[in-house]
Amino acid sequence: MIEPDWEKELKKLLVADDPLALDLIYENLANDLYNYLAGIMCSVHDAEEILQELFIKIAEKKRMLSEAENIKAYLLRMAANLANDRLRSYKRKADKRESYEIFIESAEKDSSATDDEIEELNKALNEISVEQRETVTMKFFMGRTFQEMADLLGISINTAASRYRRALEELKKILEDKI
Amino acid sequence: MEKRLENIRIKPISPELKEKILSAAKAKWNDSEQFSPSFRLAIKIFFTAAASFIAVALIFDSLKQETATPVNKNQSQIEELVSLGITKEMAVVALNSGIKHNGSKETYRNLLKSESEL
Repeated sequence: MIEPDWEKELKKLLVADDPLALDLIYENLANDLYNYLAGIMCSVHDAEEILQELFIKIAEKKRMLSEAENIKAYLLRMAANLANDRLRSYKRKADKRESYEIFIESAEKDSSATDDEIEELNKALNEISVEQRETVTMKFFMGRTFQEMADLLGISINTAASRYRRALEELKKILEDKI
Repeated sequence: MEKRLENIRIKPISPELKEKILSAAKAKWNDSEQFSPSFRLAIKIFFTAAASFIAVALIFDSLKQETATPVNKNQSQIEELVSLGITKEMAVVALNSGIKHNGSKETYRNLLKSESEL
């Protein structure tokens, strides 16, 4: 895998202990990480909070980050761990959200998706498993291929594809009578 | 299903978040550890080794005290044996091995002789 220029620059900044490394990570990865977090948490509020937590962790573990082979995958794993911790704590507190937070919107202003459709889709995404949501998020909200998905999640390409297919079937089943 | 998903996106990140996130992370960056993990490991190894060395030294010291040659407490008996023509070292050995001086110089000498021959 060819290391992008920004990653080379980032490693130099990390070795030099320069906090500008944080700006570089934000510019290149914040949107992706935010979409990932919002997608699996089904919440933009949680995504924003976890993203902030993640950047603090990056500052704490800056030396470990400079040694990471694939920075993007490393940070995605850190984000996933933080998200899973939060999901577990919600589960412990039996914090079953009665009203779902609307975390999605129409891709375009004149899109055919109505508010009702968005609400139902939002609700359906909340109901599938985190693993399935992860693949849907990566495919649609992050624009990743199955190969990239497999590399980032550390799973095989077949596993990524089958998780994604199962997620679509599940969503279809949930939405069948609603839209 | 895919068509439906293509028509949506996640609500965008709020623009104020960038400043908030970066300022908090930069504050943490400057606060975080001053020493590298390898340096901290070296310090830890040094102090562990020093503590182990002191512990071993203390154990040896106490063993040394326990096994030290007992000094004959009765200096006058040693002097008496020396006066009989026995070397000081032999007198100490004789007294430590429990040979009693019964008053007869000859008997004592013989006893000591037979003891050393053994």
